[in-house]
Amino acid sequence: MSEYRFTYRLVLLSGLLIWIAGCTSVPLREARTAFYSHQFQKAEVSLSKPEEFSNRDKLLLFMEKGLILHHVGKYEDSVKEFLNASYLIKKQDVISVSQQAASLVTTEWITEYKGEYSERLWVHSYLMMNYLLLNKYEDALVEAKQALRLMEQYPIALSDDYFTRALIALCYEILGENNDAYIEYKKLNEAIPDDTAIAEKLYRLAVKLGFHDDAKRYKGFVSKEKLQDAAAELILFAGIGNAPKKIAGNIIIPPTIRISFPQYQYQEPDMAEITVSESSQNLLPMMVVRTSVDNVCRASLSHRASKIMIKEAARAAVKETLARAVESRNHELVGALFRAVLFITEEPDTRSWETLPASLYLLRFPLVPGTHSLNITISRQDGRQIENIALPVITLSPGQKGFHSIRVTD
Amino acid sequence: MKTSLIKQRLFLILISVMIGGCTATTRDISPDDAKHYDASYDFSDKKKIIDALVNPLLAQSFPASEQKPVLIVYGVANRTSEHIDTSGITDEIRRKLINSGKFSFINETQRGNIGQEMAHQYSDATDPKTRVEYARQVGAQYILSGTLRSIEKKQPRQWRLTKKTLMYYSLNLEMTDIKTGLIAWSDAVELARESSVPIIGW
Repeated sequence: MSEYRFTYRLVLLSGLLIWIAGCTSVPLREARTAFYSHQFQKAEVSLSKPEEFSNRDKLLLFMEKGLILHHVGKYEDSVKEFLNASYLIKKQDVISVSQQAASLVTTEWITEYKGEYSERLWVHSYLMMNYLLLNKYEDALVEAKQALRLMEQYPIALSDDYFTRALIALCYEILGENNDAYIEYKKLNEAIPDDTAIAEKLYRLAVKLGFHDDAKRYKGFVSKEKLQDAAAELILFAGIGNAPKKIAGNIIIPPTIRISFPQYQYQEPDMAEITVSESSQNLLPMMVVRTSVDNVCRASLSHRASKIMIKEAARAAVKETLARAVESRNHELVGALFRAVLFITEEPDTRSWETLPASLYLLRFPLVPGTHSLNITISRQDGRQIENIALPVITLSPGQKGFHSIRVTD
Repeated sequence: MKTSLIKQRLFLILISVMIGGCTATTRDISPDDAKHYDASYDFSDKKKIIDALVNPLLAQSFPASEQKPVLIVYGVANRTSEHIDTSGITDEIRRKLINSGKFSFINETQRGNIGQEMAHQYSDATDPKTRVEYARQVGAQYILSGTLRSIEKKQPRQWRLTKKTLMYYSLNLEMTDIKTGLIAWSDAVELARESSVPIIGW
């Protein structure tokens, strides 16, 4: 190979590296900015042309678009996007040799984004919410089963997602699959630090299933007010705050070897107090379950940390070999420049689902059948930030469950 | 020179193979042929399930007073982990049972439209002589309902080049006597399939 051709290929590779490193699709960035500026239509429009997205970011497109459409109440459209995401995740089970090989000499950004385990789980959580909001309970249960499979596959990474576990149990409960619902509520009760949070539900199901000893035990944790039979119910899904962001972490081995890895940026826990009132009278929730999205994201990322580090070390070795080959064939300056390009472009894959909330809440309120005009108050940061949301008037018949989803961003 | 010619030919062969492999094709296949791309539920399963359930039902004997039992379909509940439109199963079962001439079916999905049409006929717009009489609809004697369930097992994590999935489906169909509340007939069909997909691809 002539000197000229080698240098030409080198320039081409360097250009490719610089172009790929740290490159997120522009429409994705625009949509996220618009979403957090409350310009939801603009956010939706930004993601309206899937052909503008490379396969590398297709999963992010489906997840971000699905969530934006969920937020604006277009649940049917949101379902389509999340089903696309779910289908793509299954397809991505196959490891692409070409992508992996290319990423070894370039950067992780060249591969298709496959989503953290937590993000894959929340695709099913949002599908469950959408189907419940559309009163398609059988479809919600299908998603519950798929979510359950993921939770069983990655128990350590996903064990703190109480919200999704509560949703799964709800999907079983609503279709009268009481035995399965009871099992899921029991798992939730064991995982959650508060013994009283699920006790009411466990008590009622234990009575229905004839588990008298269990019923007696759980009854002890239920307050008298909660023991009254609920004729109808409001089930509220609330997303509070902004998703944690991934940032780059670096290990520098002098003089020019850089090993970089993704990590979640620290953010203050987003604790919120959510109250629902009717005619200035606060309703007593039967159940409040919260997932810290931040915690589950971190657990998911750390679960695959060893895999990331092995790959990073392999990439560092390949790049060092390449750099030495260039130095031996070229002028010292060309070699130094090539090393600099490799150093700069060693960017970790910090792609993530950025429109997710910081916390996901599931709240259940018993209601008397009839028409209700309800108000929600969300108090954050020790009462320094208060938001009021008036729910549309709902009419519930005896035994009916009414669903509503809200989102509050920073 | 000779080496260069071989290289060129090899390159042309490679390009032809690649283009040939990428060409979009369509072809008709018989709905009777079993065709599975993976372990999940597909049209071949639907056909198998229906055939396995309809034949025993046709052979079932009912009381002499019920020469042609009247049925209403309350659907097949989907309890699998896939989004399956089970109305396709019940529609096909209903069609086969009607065509056998041994059963009559209430068209539950048209009840709203029937009510609307009756209201129109009894408005001033319709000739009274042509009106359909009220209270002549036939009451159902049996409810036809069922549940489709699935169990999926994936191969445990281990060093391997393919990933195997085991799928099991069961459809339980039953006829409930509306007068007595008793189950007059019940049958089930089971399907099990193993599929294997490569873990590594291009």
